[in-house]
Amino acid sequence: MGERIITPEAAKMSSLVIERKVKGGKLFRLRINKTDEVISVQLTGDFFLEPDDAMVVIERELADCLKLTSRKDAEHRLAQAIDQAGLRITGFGVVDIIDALWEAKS
Amino acid sequence: MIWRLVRFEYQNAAMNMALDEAVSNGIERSTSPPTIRFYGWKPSAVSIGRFQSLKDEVDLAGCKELGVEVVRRRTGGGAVFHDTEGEITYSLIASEDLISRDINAAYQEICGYVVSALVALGVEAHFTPINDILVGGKKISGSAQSRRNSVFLQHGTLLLDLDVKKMFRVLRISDAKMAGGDISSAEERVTSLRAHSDASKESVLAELQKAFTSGKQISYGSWSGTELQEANRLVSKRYANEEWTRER
Repeated sequence: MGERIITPEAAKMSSLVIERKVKGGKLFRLRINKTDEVISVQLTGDFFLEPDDAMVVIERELADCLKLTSRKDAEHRLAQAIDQAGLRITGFGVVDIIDALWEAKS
Repeated sequence: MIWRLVRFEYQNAAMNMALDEAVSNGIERSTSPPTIRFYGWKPSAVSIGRFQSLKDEVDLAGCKELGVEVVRRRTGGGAVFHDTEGEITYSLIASEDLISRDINAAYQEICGYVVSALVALGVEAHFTPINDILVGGKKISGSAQSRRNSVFLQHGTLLLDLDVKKMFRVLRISDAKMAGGDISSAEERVTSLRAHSDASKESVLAELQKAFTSGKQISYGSWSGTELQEANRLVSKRYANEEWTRER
């Protein structure tokens, strides 16, 4: 299990930052920002993604996954989006990221 | 297949990254040969991974104070402090069909060249997946790969000397990434060649060149006019562009 950090600054801004160090040493952060009724998710860290300009696909799917009630459905949706877009992530898996997202939801 | 070897040269941060991409673009257009290059960073610089948050990873005030440049790479991976005198960086850029399709196998092959060079210098080094080389359990070399439009790129660093205090002035190292997150924990996790060998930079470069070119047909060369033109375009468009650097 990685670390979970919610910064006080982010909390005031209707934002949440969750930091995870996964097995293998890679680190990622999920920033969930809420402005009015719009929720956006930013994923940052020292992982690898190919093609590198496809991050928008993952971040859009993660924002949509926040609306789901089933964690399994979220995992399936993200995995399917990654597969369909032909993306390759090295450093963490779909389960790691949905796990962090579900902590944010809770 | 004849590979081009570009001997060690210093460039600034934006130009170093732009040259890698210019060669990648040239290989895609069949106008550049597969290339191995060795280089340094002048002035010293921090490079951050494609997906890292600038403000999370870099102490911009510290960089400004010390005259350290900041550049966002096009490859993933972590933030690296490239000290002008303290490291050698390499890039290997080639058509994807010259390299293993398996990411881990490709890392193992190319990091293996660095391991061979270190072993030739009498340093017991080991490759550790995904992309690190360790000596005595401490990291001495890191690397990053990309595959875009059928072109493979791996660049990586070999630490010659380590100024941990300076590194901590320019990088923000999270507690999660490095247990303790302080100088002593960094020294426990990172090492440099200086701690294990008296080899000169020239002899390190000679061993690296030997390891990287073994079994390949090599031609010593430099940049073509087209590559330099493309690199200058990429410096303006991307690597020296604040919008790119501050994207995340």
